[in-house]
Amino acid sequence: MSDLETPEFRGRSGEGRGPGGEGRGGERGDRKDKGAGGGKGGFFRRRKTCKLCSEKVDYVDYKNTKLLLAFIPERAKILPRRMFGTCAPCQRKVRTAILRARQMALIPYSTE
Amino acid sequence: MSQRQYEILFIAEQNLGEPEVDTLTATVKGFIEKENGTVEKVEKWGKKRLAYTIGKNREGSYVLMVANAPGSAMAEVERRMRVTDGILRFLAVRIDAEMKKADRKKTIRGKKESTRRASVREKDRAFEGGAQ
Repeated sequence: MSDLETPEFRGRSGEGRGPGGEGRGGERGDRKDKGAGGGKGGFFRRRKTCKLCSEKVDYVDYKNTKLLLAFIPERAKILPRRMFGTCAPCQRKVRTAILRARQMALIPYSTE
Repeated sequence: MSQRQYEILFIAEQNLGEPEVDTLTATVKGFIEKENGTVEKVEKWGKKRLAYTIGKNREGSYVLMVANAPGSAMAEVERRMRVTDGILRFLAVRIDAEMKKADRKKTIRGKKESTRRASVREKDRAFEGGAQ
């Protein structure tokens, strides 16, 4: 079942994250609405997808501050994966890129 | 020795004018060429504000270089850069492997895009057939 759904939805995932129990796009939206209205227990969160994978960024360049700043909140800390929904390989790339950019003073280490 | 591609970014001190930065770039280029490396590209970013001050420097001139050199040569280049006055900071990153990977991904994706639609349609049909 999951292997029937994956190609259409996840496109090029390759990360194999989470159980494949998700419905189709439309259904997913419906379910979210129900969950939010239903209150008790069934709080349905939409699964975040990896931005880098969906935008097909192959090489996360540390010089590309515009891209990196999208992953940096006000405090300039690197946020965990669960906040952005990036897949593990992408998060790793983002992390190294941020560390490099910090070293070269392109991105602050912290802001007060 | 196998040549590898490196990307070197360095920051020159803020009190250096453009001619001084140019001579600094030339010296770094000299380091690389001395070690049997070749400089492919030099890109001057000009003066940029630093994200934080580095030893009283609020801004610095960035220079980016792409060089082909063996790994052992880069060690020497880095050592020399470390002792060169006027260079606030530098970063040398090997990029050939990453670029190759990115290129390969791109070509694979190009192929996939064309075949994907067909295969999805086929799978859908198979599923509907099984459900009935």
